[in-house]
Amino acid sequence: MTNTIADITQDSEVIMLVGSNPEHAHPVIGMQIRQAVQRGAKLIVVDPRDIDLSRQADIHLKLRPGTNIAFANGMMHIFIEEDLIDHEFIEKRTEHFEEIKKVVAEYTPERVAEICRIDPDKLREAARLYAKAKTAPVIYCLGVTEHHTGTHGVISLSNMVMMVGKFGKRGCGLNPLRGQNNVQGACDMGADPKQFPGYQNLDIPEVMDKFEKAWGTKLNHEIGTKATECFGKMTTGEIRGLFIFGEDPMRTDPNTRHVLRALSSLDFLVVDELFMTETAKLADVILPGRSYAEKEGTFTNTERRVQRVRKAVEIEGETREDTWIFTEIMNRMGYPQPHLTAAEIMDEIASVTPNFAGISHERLDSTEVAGRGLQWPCRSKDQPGTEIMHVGKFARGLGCFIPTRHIPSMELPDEDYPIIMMTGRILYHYNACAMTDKVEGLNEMAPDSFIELNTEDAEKLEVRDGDMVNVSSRRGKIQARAVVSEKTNPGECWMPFHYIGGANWLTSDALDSISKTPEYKVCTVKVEKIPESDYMREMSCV
Amino acid sequence: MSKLYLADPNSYDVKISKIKRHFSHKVEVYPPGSCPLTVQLSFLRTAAGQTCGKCVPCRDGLPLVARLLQKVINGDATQQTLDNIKMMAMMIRESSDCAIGWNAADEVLKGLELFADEYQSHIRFHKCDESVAQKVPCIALCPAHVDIPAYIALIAEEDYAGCINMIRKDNPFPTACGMVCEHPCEESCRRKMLESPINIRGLKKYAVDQMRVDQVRTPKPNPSTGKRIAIIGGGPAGMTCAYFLALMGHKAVVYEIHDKLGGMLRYGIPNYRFPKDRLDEDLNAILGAGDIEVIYETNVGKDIPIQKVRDEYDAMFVAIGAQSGKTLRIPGVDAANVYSAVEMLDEIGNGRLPDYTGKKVIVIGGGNVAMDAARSAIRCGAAEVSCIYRRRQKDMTALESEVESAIMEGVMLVTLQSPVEITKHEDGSCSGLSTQPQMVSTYSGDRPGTTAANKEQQHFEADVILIAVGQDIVSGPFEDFGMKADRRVFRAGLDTSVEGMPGVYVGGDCATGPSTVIRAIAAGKVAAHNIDEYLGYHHKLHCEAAAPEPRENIRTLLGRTEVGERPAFLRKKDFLHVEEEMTHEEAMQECSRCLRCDHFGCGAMEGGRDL
Amino acid sequence: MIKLTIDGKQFEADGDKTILNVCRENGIEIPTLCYLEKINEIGSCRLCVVEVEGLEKLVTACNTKVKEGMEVRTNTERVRRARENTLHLLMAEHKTNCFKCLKNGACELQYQARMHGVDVPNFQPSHYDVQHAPFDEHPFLSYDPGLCIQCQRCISTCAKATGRHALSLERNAARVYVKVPFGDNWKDTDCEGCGNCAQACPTGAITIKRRKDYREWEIKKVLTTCPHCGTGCQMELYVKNGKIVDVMGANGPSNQGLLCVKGRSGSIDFVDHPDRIRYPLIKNKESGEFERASWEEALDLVASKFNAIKENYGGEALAGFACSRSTNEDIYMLQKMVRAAFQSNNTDNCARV
Repeated sequence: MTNTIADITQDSEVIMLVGSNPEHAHPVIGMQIRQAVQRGAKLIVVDPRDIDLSRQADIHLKLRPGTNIAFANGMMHIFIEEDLIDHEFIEKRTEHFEEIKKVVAEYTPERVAEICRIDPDKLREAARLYAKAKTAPVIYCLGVTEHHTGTHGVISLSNMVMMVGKFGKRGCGLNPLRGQNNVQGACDMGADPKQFPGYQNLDIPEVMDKFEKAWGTKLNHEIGTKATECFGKMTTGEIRGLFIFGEDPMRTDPNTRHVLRALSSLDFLVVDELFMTETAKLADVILPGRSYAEKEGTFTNTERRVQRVRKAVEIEGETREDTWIFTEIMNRMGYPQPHLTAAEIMDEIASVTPNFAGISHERLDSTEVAGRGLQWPCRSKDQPGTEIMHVGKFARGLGCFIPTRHIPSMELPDEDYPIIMMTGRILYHYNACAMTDKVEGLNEMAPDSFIELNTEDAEKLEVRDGDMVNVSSRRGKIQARAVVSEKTNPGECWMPFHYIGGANWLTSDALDSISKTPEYKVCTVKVEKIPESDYMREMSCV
Repeated sequence: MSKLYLADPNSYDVKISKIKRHFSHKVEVYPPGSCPLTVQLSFLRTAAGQTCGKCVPCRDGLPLVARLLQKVINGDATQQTLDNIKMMAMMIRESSDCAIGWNAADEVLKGLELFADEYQSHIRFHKCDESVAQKVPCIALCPAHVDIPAYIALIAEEDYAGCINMIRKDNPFPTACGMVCEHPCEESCRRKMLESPINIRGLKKYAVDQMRVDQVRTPKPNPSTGKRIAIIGGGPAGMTCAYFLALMGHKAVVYEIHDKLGGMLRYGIPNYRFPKDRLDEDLNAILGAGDIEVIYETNVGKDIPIQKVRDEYDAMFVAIGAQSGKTLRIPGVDAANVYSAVEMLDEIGNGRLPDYTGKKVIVIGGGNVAMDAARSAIRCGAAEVSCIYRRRQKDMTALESEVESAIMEGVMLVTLQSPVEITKHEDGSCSGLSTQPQMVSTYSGDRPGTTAANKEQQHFEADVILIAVGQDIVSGPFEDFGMKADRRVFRAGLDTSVEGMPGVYVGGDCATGPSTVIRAIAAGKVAAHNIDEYLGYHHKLHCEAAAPEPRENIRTLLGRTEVGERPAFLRKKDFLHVEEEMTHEEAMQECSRCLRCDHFGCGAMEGGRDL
Repeated sequence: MIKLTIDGKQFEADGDKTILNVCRENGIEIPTLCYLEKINEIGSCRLCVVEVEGLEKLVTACNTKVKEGMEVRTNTERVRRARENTLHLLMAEHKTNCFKCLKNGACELQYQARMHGVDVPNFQPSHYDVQHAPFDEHPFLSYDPGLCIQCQRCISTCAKATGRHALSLERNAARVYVKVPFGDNWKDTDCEGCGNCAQACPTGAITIKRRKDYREWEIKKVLTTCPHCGTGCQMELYVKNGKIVDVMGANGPSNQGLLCVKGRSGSIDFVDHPDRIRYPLIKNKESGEFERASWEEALDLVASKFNAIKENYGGEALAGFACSRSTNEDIYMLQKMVRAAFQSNNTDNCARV
């Protein structure tokens, strides 16, 4: 996030939510957005589905899944057409405006309306409302990124925000809600094939040099392979040994069948886990690590805030701190790595990562920070951290307009698979459920997987609310309980991705060309009613 | 945002607002003789029921105080209970958020002082004070305690003579009261629980319209006792006293300053409200009741020394009324054409009509006399009559119906104007009235007071100004005689006796300040009985009428029949009676509304009728 | 800035503040029960009443703004008496079976009553006869109307802080209750089960059911960050005898004291769950079953296998994926292991899945 949760919810006149359902995926941010709406902030929801917040939205653009770029370009077309742009900001702080002007000129509201299947007047109103507001954050989530054009979707939103000068100000900005508790940290810490911690590219010689010196060893200079592309390399034998730390690709990655094949072809699979996950079952060795409550450390939240995690308990058995495990393996593989405490590791991170230079456990625990954490960039011990990014100047200098064009999703409805399926989160579970399905109460609240069908489609399929249905795609077939409503548009359906034997047996492994993020948000499926007698027979077999 | 809706016409609020007047009616008709603690408790429970439930003192405190009060009523309380009530009520009054809590607690605290005796009675003796006993409302609230349900029932039986006799048992002025009584009897009429009170005055008027009072024989008087009682003043109080004394067999000698009897009934109330020939019907009947002698045109205290009168008679009843008009202390009151309204009405009562043709008349004041003066001025041909009053219209002491009639006849009300100066022409006659506009302010007593508003003074042109700001009692000679008075109002006991002067009694306006006819009549009645007692007798009065058996109550909601008036455009041109007669049908329907509380309910019990 | 006098002392204060704000900033204690800053300032408990010179009634400090020249008295006989009587009223309507109550020791009513010397209520209750039995069908939350003091902190929290409006006021004639979504129809309500209402409740009326496992004085509190989504909510783990027994929202910059249903109720059970893997496991190639191993065996096996692959196929044939739900320190060390020991840059995290 360029801004903080507090400023985008407390200081905003208009809030634009794009492909984000914070009430379920980020509930406490959802609560603060509801507070903002109650306070009088106007709300624009851009989402193919009636999320709960859309009931309170001033404008809901219920667009076709996979058409975000067309939407953003349409907004910019209107900004220019109605002179809603921030001339001074564009002049002083950006470059390549003329290029984007040419591209968005093609995206008239009428054309965008056709692509997105929305009302052009509503698009115009949204553009005016957003552009004219003094403070208006764009908040987005996986509805923007989980497309094969996800990176361009983000770029197009960034273009849109720049065009009206809403960067570097309180209550504005472009704010991705990062999914998991430390997904921001995982990226920051260099778990990335081409970047060291702090987004330092390993193809820059000085950077490579710095890390080789700091770690006292020669390093591999070849840029690595992104996780989602590794699966392909496993099946071809290019990758033979894999260490998975706390991930469950068998549940979370698209096209589960393909993942299963890849993991099964490995020579040696090591999993560091808390539970016997679907992925762990495939391992050669399982190493018992520790949960958040059993170790010291830090998490970095979606607003770049580094906050402390503290050890509360120890459990019976021989679990070990995960850093101990990594250190032992390094030593046994021949790299001499002394055992360090979490605080000492953070000091090493600070020493090699300029954005973290001012961060240490000591400082996070101090009265100066007073439990508020530190937001990176925090480049020295006397810097307070950075609340809002790009104030006065963009990190790269001038803001760069990069024109993007609408490209349809990789899989589009056809006769065989006529319905678009989206996936997403529900409030009561988290990702692969490894943690949440251990709670009886949560299971009672959200016991099983379901599929949201549109009323019209359901009528055609003769499916009633609560019926069991078969859902199949080119990649697999599963069963789910039908929930019939108007939440999705006709021809579109939605499934949560948390459950075993769930949505990811169906999803497409088409990847974004840059980030290699899978297109979880669009695949096509076929839905069939299971005749009651068959279902009963199946149930009795179980 | 979400959808909006108009107010639901079938909502509880709408339904409640339709029925809630029944609740206020119920409160208004609280029966005389109720225990004040039950009244307080019902107020408190009402308030507790109105709580929104937000704040502790009101939500939890009011029910608690109600429970403690119930404990007092149940006879389970001690002084500690009272202390707890007081402590909790003070906390509620001090720390409540809105008026529901503090107002309710304030009433409790005031009640603790106001009804301290009743609280003590409940705590010590576990019962109400002796004075607490439910009474038939109309009878109890009539100062003369006339048996109203009985005479209404007689009208319903078309026994008008019986009706008149039933009234005369307590009040020898049925005609006067039929015309001009302010009818306090109607205030708590139980019929109000259903819709509105019985038109008691209207029915009495119907009866005396059907049968002239002087056509109905009065009860036979007692044989003569030989006692002589002097009555000073031939107004309603004096003549009532004379009437009852005469029936008891005493000789009543009435000293009257004018050449005719009736007092304010004749000289204060204009003919259009009470025709003089109708007054004579009451007076003729009274004079025919027994041994009554009238000495006209004699001013006791001036023409004859008071002491002399006292010495000559066995007892004396002073009922000289409040006959002189008060004046204003502002510059210019001495101008020509500035009169006291009482004087003006007196002149008219004596048959001398002033000619106001084409003149602008201003009446200062807001009481019944002011209305009488204003309406009379209209009838005397005035081009324009304004009534200037210091407070708001709703604060006027005149009967609402009088104000309404005055307005209908063309009197202009100018309210919230305080007289500052009467301006004069060079010849010394008045030219108009300057006033200071007022604004309403805090309460003093039952009405809000006023203070000068931040507005410029106004001036109203006038050819004649009539001052109607109250009446005075010519008390001087009697004070010299030894009677005590507070600001010229005589001090009298509840039995009308004068302290330290055995055999001297006083009553009517001179003992109360200007008031109503019926209170004067009550004083005359009380005085007569107590003089009889003083003289050593216990005479009982015979009544030749009896209350008929009640008919079944009609509980269907039925409107109240009002007495019709001649149209304003016609009546304002003469002094003829403005009221019309009720029709037979109207009267019978009105009679049928009476719930006969003398028979149903407490009236059937011993002591339940207050007769 | 304005000047005012409190208990005879001069203070300067921002005219936008309430008497309560100014008193608390200056260490002057004012008792409150219904007050929750910016959430519930309805002045219903009347415990914070103070005297203000020139005003006939006592005013509530929590929602009365300070004014120039104001003279406030916070601790007069009249004020103390009003507060005591208020507590007597509240206690009379409150089931005072404290030993049984889950909030014993953490109850604000209990605390205020003790501070004001109100141990036994002076009065009998007025409303007991209309009280409903507890609502406790909800998996995590329950409500006992007999313990409710109608302060409405829960209702305001649900309405204003969480914006959910799942709690409301319910009336039984002159008595108000909280209409809670914890009865047998809890699944059909808008309630998200977040439990912020329970955290707001000053008494034991709305409680997290887990409270039955501990008493306030038995626990150690550990401030940490929620393990679920990226909001970064701050929370306190309540630890008793080495076990986490409860979670309470802490006032962090991103959560303002709030938690969601997962944070509050989904952050405990998995930690010491029977399904946790507690020993290193090596798969028996023959049987396909996992067998318990020592750390030495397991780590040596891992190191030797990876070293063999590295030697035969180069570092690029090895990869290591990090978990987006582990700590920064863990992830840093993992990528360091991949780069320095595996000699590979095939390291990534699950950010995109």
